[in-house]
Parts: sequence; structure tokens; C-alpha cells
Amino acid sequence: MSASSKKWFWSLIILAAVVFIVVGVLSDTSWTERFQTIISSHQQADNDDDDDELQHSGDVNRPLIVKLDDETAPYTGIQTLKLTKSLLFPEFKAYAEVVDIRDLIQWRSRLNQLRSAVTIAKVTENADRLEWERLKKLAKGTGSVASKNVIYAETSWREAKANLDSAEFQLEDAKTELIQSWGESIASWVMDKSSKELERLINRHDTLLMVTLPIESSLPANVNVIRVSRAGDRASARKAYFVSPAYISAKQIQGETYYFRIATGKLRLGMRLDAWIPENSEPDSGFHIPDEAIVWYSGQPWAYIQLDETSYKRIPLSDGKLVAGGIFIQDEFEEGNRLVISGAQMLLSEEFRWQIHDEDDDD
Amino acid sequence: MLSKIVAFSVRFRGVVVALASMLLIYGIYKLSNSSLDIFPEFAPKQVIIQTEAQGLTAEQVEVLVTQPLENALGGLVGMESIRSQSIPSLSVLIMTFYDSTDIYLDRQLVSERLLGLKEALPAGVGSPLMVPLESSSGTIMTIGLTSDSQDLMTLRSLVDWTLAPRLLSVDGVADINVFGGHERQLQIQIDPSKLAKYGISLDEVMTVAQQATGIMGTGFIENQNQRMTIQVSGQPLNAKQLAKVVVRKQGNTVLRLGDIAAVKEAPAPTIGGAAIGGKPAVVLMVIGQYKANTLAVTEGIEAALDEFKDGFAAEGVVLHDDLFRPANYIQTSLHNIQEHLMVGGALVMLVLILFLFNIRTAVISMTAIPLSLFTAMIVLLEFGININIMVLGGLAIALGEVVDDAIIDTENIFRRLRQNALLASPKPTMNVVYEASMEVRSSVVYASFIVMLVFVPLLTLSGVAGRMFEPLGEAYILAIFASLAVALTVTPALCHILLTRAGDVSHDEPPLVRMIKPVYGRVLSSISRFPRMTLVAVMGFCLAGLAILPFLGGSFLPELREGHYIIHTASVPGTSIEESLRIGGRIEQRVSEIPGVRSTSQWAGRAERGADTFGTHYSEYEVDLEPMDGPSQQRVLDQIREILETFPGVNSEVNTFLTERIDETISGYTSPIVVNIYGKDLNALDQTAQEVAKAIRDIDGATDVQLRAPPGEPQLEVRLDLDKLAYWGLRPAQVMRAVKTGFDGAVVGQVYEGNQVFNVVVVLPEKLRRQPQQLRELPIQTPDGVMLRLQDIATIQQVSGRHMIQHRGSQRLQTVTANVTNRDLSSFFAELKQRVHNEVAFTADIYPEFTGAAVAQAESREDLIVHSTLAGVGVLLLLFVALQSFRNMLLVLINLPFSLVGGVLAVVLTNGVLSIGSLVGFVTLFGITLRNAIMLVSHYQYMVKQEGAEWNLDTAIRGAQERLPSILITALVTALAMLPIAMNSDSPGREIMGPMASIIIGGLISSTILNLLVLPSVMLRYGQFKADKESQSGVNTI
Repeated sequence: MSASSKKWFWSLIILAAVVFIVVGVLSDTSWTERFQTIISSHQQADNDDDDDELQHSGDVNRPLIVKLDDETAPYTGIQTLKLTKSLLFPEFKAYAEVVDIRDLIQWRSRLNQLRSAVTIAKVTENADRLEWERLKKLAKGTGSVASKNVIYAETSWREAKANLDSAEFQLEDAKTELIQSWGESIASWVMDKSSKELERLINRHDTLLMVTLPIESSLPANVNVIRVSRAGDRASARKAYFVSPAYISAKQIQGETYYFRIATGKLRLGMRLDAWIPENSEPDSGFHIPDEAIVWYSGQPWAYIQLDETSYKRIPLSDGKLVAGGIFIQDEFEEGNRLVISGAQMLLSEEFRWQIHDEDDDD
Repeated sequence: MLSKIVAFSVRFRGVVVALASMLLIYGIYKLSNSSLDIFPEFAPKQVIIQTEAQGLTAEQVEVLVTQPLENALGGLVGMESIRSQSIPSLSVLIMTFYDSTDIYLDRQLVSERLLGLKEALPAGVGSPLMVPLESSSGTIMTIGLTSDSQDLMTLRSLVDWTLAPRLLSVDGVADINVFGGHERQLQIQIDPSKLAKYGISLDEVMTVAQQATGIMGTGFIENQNQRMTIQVSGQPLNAKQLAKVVVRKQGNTVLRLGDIAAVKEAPAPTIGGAAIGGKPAVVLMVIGQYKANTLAVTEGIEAALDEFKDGFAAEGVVLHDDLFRPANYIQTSLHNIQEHLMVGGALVMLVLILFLFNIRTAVISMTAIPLSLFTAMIVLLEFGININIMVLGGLAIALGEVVDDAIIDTENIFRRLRQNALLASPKPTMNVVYEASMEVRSSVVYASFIVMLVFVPLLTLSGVAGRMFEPLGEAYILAIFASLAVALTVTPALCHILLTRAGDVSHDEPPLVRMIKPVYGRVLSSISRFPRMTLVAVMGFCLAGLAILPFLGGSFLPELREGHYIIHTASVPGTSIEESLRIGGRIEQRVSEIPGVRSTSQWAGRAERGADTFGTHYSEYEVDLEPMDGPSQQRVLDQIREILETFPGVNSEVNTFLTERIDETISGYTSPIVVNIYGKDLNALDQTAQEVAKAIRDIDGATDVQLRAPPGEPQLEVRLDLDKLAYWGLRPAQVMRAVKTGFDGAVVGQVYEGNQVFNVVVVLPEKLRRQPQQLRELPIQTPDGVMLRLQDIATIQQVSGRHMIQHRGSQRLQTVTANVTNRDLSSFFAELKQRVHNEVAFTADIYPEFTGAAVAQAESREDLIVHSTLAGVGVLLLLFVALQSFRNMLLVLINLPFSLVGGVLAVVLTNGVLSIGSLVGFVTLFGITLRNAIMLVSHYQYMVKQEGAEWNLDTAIRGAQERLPSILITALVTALAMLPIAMNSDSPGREIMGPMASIIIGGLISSTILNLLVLPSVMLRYGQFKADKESQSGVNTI
């Protein structure tokens, strides 16, 4: 190698080194790439640290069990409640209104008048009939009565009979009208002069209520007793007894209507009350799951029970019935199960941890 | 020109010194009045618009609020991008403007477009509000209130009407974000069963309440003499009075509001909650204005809080004024840096005295430090750049070169004066000073410009890194430039004043120099015998050093030791505030048990106008530590992480506050692979995104594939039955209004109490609002007066909805992200594109965008390569001009790997992690190394050209020996100035500069050794110096 070639050889080596250092280091050599990827590696490192996410398997058949870390479990503040069976008298809510019974009294008065009119008509008819028969006998036996007078008497009787029929028709029509307005049971009270029920109503020992059921609800067939309360408080509700279906509807609520009577005179005309209608005559046996234990997921309610110190299982409540303060469910649970009443959402969150993403990673 | 400046300075030395003194005084004045902060404004120029849409789902917010706003705000001048998030009850638009724009003008443009937009939004939706312009670090202080005797409603009222207004009046406070507590309302809590019983509709109740609480101006009476305003008083002002308002009168029966509803003061539905040490609390985040001085604002807030302390104590309210105080970190950091500068300065002085053995020369060299640094700071302050850690870092790493500029000059003048004193007929001292100064001047100028040029690519970094390190680069370049100016003017002037009197200059060399020079000469002589072997050995050594690089870790910033941590936890969407606070309480309890944790606090959900727009499933915790060193803070951090990692039901992240803010500022998903899928139909987008995710999962090397905004928020869907609505004569909006009134509340008026105004709201009682089944029982009145329940006209079911709908560029977006392991990104990307296009059927209005951190980094890398190449070419040109020899220019560059290997070893010996700060350290190192090499080579050039020496071993050794003190002083001064920063770098204020300092020290050690031992022999073997007869007489005289 000549001296000049040597010089150029070394020059090239040095130049290559310079290019490697000055330019190459800032481009795509391995170590400078480290600088360029600093931000991502930093973030990634954090993600790796924090995201102990499970890969979402999408397996819907997994056993719905959440397992907590042995050491951390005592610090999570999960509280449980030992489940015991209870009875539920299923019922639904309706509205009741104190009915004005002055109409019934008027009906009674009207019926009495009509009954009197019938009686008067009967007496008149009977008198006229007897008179006609007497004159007819005299005219036929002795001939002492002019046939003209017999004809007059007959006419008079027929007139009285027509009046009697009319009075009876009016009475019957009035009864029919009464039944149409108030139903047979109440009408019978009105028509029965000695009806104790009507008397109790009139004397304010009882009160008549019209109960309106929610739309699309019906009164169960065997329901004779319901509960009624003035203040909307179920605990202080009193019994009311079935009387009859009503033939009119409430102005505000377009559900089925029924008459019930309640043994109290303290309710005033026009008062509006809350009523609870039993759905069955027999109580259901099951478990009351309080609101604080319920979590909603995938369109249905769930609750967790504790299996052991660190394991919890999610139980569906979709077959349960929504009741005040929670859900009443007959199946799925067993007596003695420990129901999670504080921390259910945390367990749900743990179970679906893969759904949690770092909020800071917004775009 | 340089000669004229130097000549002027020597001749008018008094004037120059006077000007320098004035500069010093002005610098001290400016610095004492300047604001101090940790970091520069690193956030991009953004305008954020938040619109409260209480009660709307994410889909409704998107269509009814976000979309009209995006349409109105698109196409603004200077806007780089627009993106949005629609979450339940809130729309957030984030407009990013180019860095070159004026943020105040940007806000002006946005506010002009916002005018009149309120009318375009649905009724009940709040006004679109611009989030106050705040500093990048945002929070100035976090404080809180708790009480055993006062309820949360009283505490919140105290904050809303007393504390927050006072704090907002403190200079520099932009906003107060209030979390937790209960906002006081006068609520008319309707009883649905009573409405049904009495046949009263919700609308009727609202009308009554509006008529009861409506306040309007009633005019005045004016006659010839007087004008008297008419005031109607006696409106109901409290719950008791409002309950008496008549709803309906039938005959003698009067139905009042109190008969159908419970009228009482009650808390408004919340969007956030807070706790301190697990106890319910109200937490306030004080947000600083853009470019506010954190320290000054903190002091202002503390003074304002002092006014309340006695009153609070009297009412049993505990003020927690120290939940988070970022100023602590600033003060500790600045204290540490001051300490470093003092220690560094003392070490620098020691080195100067040892090497120069003359107090005066040491003083002259030291004078350059404050002059140069103050000049740089004055310029920065005049340009509106606050003093912060990055600026101080730039000044600190410039220290070595600043001193070096003066030392080279002083040392040469001192040497020449000494030589002159030995002459039989000494020249005039003015001439000696001038000539000695000019002797080194041009190389110093070139070296300084090269050093500055090396830093230029740093100024062109994009994003947060660019904004963070730009002030560092500016401070560094300005300091070097100022140092050059000082070396050209003040140093020769001071040298003439202090060194030219008879007896000032010792004839002998300083003892230390006298001692090491012969030793150095012998070593150099031995090495110079084997130049090729030496070069090969050194190159091998360098390559071994470079080979370590790929094994080093990387991080954007090192762990900052702020004495404070912020924890984030997120549960599945739909988690209530109550549960988030309960979980938070358990976490707080465990974290507070860690030794060294001073206080903990938590907030869940969000605050109105808050920068963070999270759902109720999201919490942040402030964990404040007792004063402790970096390793102890790391121990606490490790224990916090340990607790959080095993805590069920939450994903978590722990960061320091500033790291947190920087992370939040870095826009975009940070996964290497991001596939954005744009389209119109959200369900189709979800489905396509699932398909894309499946396709990615099948690709070899794909890990952590995630759908970023999956539907998962539990919602109760009320599906109206239009046939039933038609049957009853109802319209959908009537039903929606009833639902909103019942469960979200309808504001019907206001009542005043003193200067406090509270909303009057018609709403269901809280007990009923907590039960999903109550939705079914909500009474709806038909136009005929018939009372229905909601379930009679609608189907109600629980469904899974979206928590967030994202837009970018006003288009709906669903995103899939993934990481790549054990595979190179480019082949992964190619396969990804092919697979997605083959396996996923895209319709006409759905299309993918393949992006990610990898793509963004490739783009920014391209920029950096271009800028670095340009700077590199500029450096080479300057080197060529300085050395006027292509070969010598190449030989000088050999010093770069010398320095690199030392820097790499320093990284390995410290924490083995490379950060952006490390990059700055290497850049600085290259500058210093090149400068030292230039000084040596140019001295050889001077000896051969000016002094007529022959280029041989003797000249090489003599030249190296003459430059030895200067090179050693430069290296030692720089290294010792950096030493206190490098030592114990894992402590407040030293985290970023520590790694830089370690690299600079490590690199300086290797490059100085190799520069002194290898470069002369390499230059001797391969260098080219020719005597230039014509220029021998080139030095002018005064």
C-alpha cells in the first residue's frame, strides 16, 4: 500500500467513524434508537407495571368466581351478611279513594218512595178490583146495578192496575239502575232495608273505598282483603275488605276499579289512599337481597356470595322479584350463604378488570 | 473585527469593567425579581372547551353538544388539530394550536366562534366554557376541609361562597377546582304516589315552583321630585316558606307544595367526591395561571388561608393546607442547586488557584462565571422565559466552557507576560496582553461556535421533549455566547488591570504545572512511538464502549423526587362515587401506614371546569411524604405500588406530580401500534374494531391488544313505545322531561341567603333516586289528566352503553392498540396492514389509519436526523475553517468516540438508564471535547505557522505540554462544577441534571486522557502542519 493510499485509507476509517458518531448515532443505529423510543419505552414500562390485565377471553361459561390476593383480601373492606330464608307476601300497589255514600242514601230514599208508590198503587188496585167485583156480582145477581156502573168500576180497576204495574216497573228500573251504578253487593245493601253494612257506612263505622289498580293489572281471583294506608306507609296499613267490582273508573288512573270497605270512620270524603294488593294468597319462601348487594351487569341484576376467605361467586338475580329495598329470590341461594353487602361493585370490577383502561391514554 | 474589540477592551479597560459591573448589578436585580419554577411551559398550546350537559348519555352528548361545537370551531387559523371526548354529562373539545401561535389570540378566536353557540345547543345544556388558561404544571396547591361538627353541605357552601372567591383573588390563581362536599340546593322532593293520588303532573309542580321562586325587576315610580324603585319582598326564601305555596285550590280545599313533596335543603347530585385520610372532605385544587410564578402564588395563597384559620377553628372546621404543595419541591430543588453551585464554585476556585498559583488570575477567570451567566439570564428574562430547573441546568453545564473561555485567555496572557518578563527588553504590557489574547482568540471563537452549533438540534426537538429542553439549550447557547463576549472584552481588560504591574507576575510556572509537565512529556513521548498501535487500541476500546449502548435502559425523564406521589385508580365504568370513595378509603388507609407518608387525600369523579374529565369510577390520590432523600422516596413508591398491584377491582398508576403532568401532556396513545378506525356508525365502528383487534391478535409478536373505548358503562335504557304514547296523547319529550326532572332534577328558580344563591330544584327524593326500580314507577300524566307509570308506556332495561365517544378531526373514532415483542416493527407493520385489509371488510364510510408511537417517532426521528446532519455539516465546516486542513479536521473528530465511551461507562456505573437528559449530556460532552481538541490542534498550528516551529515529536510534546494546564483546568473545572450535581443525583433538583453531569464527568475523564495522550501522537503521525511564512507577521500590534 502506497503512502498516499495509506493516508486515504486512514482518512476513510476516521471519516466513517465520524459519520457513525455524528450522524449515525442520531439515525437508526441501535443505541440512538433507544433515545428515539424513550417516550414509548417509558410509557410501556409503566403499562407493564400497572396493567396486570387479563387478556379478555370472552369466555361466557367461566364460573363467575373472583379470587382475591390472600394478603390483600382482609384490607378490602368487603362486608357480608348471612342469608336466612324469609317469607314474602307478594303484593302490588294501587290507589284508593274514599267514596261519597250520599248517593247510596239518596238511592235508598228513592227506592223507599218507589216502594211506597207501589204499595199505594197496590191498595188502590185492590180496592178498585173489589168494587168492580161487587158491582159485577150485584148486577149479575139482582140486576140492581146498572151495567154502566159496572163498566165504570172495571175501568177504574184497570186504571189502578196499570198504576200498580207502573209503580212496580219504576221500582224494578230503579233497582236495576242502582245495581248498574254500584254493583249487586252495594245495591243489595241499599235495597235491603235492614242492611247492617249500609247502616255501618251511614253511621261512619265503616268507610267505602274505591280501589283503582294500575293499568294492565287485575285483582287476583281469591283476594278478599287488601291493605290500605293514608300516609303511603305500608307498615301502618289497615285491612280493607272486598265488596264488589266497581262499574266506573277513576279520573286519573285508567285501571280496573273495585269497592272495598274498611272498618274506620276516620277517613274523610275525597281522601286518597295507598293500597297494597296481595298477588297470592300463600306467601313465597326465599331470600331478600338488599339493594346494597345488587350490581347490574349484562342486562340483569347480580349479587356475590363469599365462598371462602378470598373467593367470591357471582349469582344471577334475574328470577327474583323487585321488592321494596331490594330483590326477593326463591332459588339460587342457600340458607347460610354469605352475601356481599359492601364491595360488590369492587368484585365486579375485579372480575371485569380487562375492561378498565388507563384514562390518561386518551388520544 | 475581533482584534478591534479586544484592542478597544484593553485600551478602554476602565469603561469595560464599569459596564461589566453594571451588568452584574442589573443581573442581580433582575434575578431577585424573577419568577422561579421547576419546568418551563411544556404543554402544547391548547384551548379546552367544556360543556356541562347534565343527565345526557355519551351518545347524546356527542350528537347534541360535541358535534355542533366541532362544526362551529373547525378551521380556525393556526389550529393544528381538534379532538373531542363525549362522556356522560360532559363534552370536552381540545383544540391544539401550533407552537408558533399566540395562545391569547387563539383563545380570542375561539371565544368569537363560541358567541351565540349556546342557542344552538339543546335546552338544559350549559354554556360552552373555555377552561381557564393554566400553567403546564397546573396545580399550585391542594388543600382540603374536614369537620366533625359541620356537614358536607355546610363545608361545600363555605368553600363555594367564602374560601374559593378569596383564593381566586390571589394574584396568579387561574381557577379553583372543588371536589367533594355537597352542593346545597333547595329541593322540592316530589312524592310520586302523591302526584298520582292527586292527579298532579311534574310539569304542574315545576310551574308552581317557578312561580313561587321567580324574581324579576318590578320597575319604579318617578314623579316631579323623586324616583323610587319598587321592590316586592316576601317571596319564599326557605324550605318552610316554600312548602306553603299553593299548588291547587278546589273549593275550600287547598293543596300546598308541602302536601305533595318534601321541601328541604338537600345536596345536589354530585359529579365528584373527596376524602382526606379516608374521611369525607372537600378538596380544593388551586390552579395557577399560565406562566404564573409557583412560589409567589403559593405564598399568596398561604397568606389568604391564614385569614381563615381562626374562623375555621372556631367553627370546628379543620383546614388541611398541606395536602400538596409543589413549591416544596421547587424550594428544595433550588436550595440543592444553590448548594451545588456554591460547592462547585469553591472547587473551581481551588483548581484555578492550584493550576495558576495566582489569586489574581483565578479571580479573573472566576469573574467570567457570574458575568456570562447573568448576561444569559437577563436575555432569557427579557424574552419572557422564567428561570427554572432546565434553564439552571443549561447554565450549569455551560459553566465549564464559560470558565474555560476565561482560563484560556488568562492562562495564555499570564504565560506570555511571564515569558515577556524574562525577555531582556520586555515589550509594552498592553501589547503583550493584546497579542496573547489574540493568539488564542480565533480558535476560541470557532470552538465556541461549534459548541453552540452542536446544541442547535436540541432546540428543534418536537413535542414535550422540545418544549422541556429548549430553554436548557437556549440558556446554554446564550451562556456560551456571553462567555465569548466576556472573554473578548472583560477578561483582557481585567488581565491588563490586574496582571501588568511589575511584580504581579511570577517568573516561574505554577508548582503543580511544573511538577506534572515533565511527567506528561515522558508519558507522551513513550506513547508517541506507537501511534498506530495506540490508535487501534483506543478504537477497540471505543467500539467496546459503544457495544454497551444497546443494553442500556431508556426513560423519558428520570424518577423525579418531589416528595409527593399521585395515585390513579380506575374501576370498571359505572362504579359509583360512593364505592370509589370506599375503595379509596381502604387504599388510603394502607398507604398511610407506610412509614414516611405524611398525608393522603383522594378525589373521585371530577370537578366542574376541572382539567381532568373522568367518570365516577376514576380516582386520584395525593400522597405527601415527610422530607426524605431520593432512595427513601423510592422505597415508599415501591411499597405503594406493591399495595396497589394486589388491590382488587382497580387498575392503578403511581407517578410524581410533574411526571404525571408531562405524561398527560404527551398526546396520543403511546403504544407502538395504533389502528384508528374512523366512521359514522358507532356500532359498526365497534364491530370493525373487534375484527381488527382479532386480526392483530393473530399476528406473530402482537401483545396487549386492546380496544380503547369499549362499550361497558351500565345504563338503564328507557325505550319509549310510540304506539302507547300516541294512544295516551303523550309526546316523547314530555316523558323525557319527566324522567330528567325526577332523577336529574329541574332547576326552577333561585333563592338568596345573604350573598349566597341556591338553586331551587324539583326532583325525586334521594332514596327513590337510588333504586333502579323506581324508574318504572315514575308518574307520567297524560293530557287528559290520566296518571300513568313510566313502565306503562316504555320498556326499561339495563344495557351496556358507552362511557366515552371520541372524535378526531370531527370524526368518530374507535381505536385498537397493541405492543410488539420479539419482532421488528417495520415487518410487523407491513403484515398488520396486509392482514387488516385482507381479513376485515371495510365499508365505504369506515376506514382505518395505521399509526402509533412507532410512526410518530419515525417522523420525529427524520426531523432530528435532518437537523443533526445540518448541524453536523455546519460543525465540520467550522472545524475546517478553524483548522484549515481537511486531514486535521478529521483527526480532531477522533476525540468524539473518546468522550462517548467515558459517557457510556458513566451511565453504566450510575443507573444504566438513558434519558433525554443523557442525550443533552452527550451533546454537551461532544462540544467540550471538540473544543479541547481544537484548542490543541490550533496551538500546534500556531506553533508551526506563527512561531515557525518544525512539526516533529518535540513540537508535538511541547505544544501538548503548553496546552496541558489549560486542558486540565477546563476538564477539572467542568468536572468539579458538575461533581456535586452528579453525586447523589437521586434527590430533589438533581434528577435531570444528575445523569447529564455523570455523563459529562465520565466523558471528560476519558476524552481528556485520550486527548492528552492519544491525540498528540495521532496528530504527529497523521497530522499535517505547514509553516506559513506570510502569516508569521500576521499579529497586529496596538
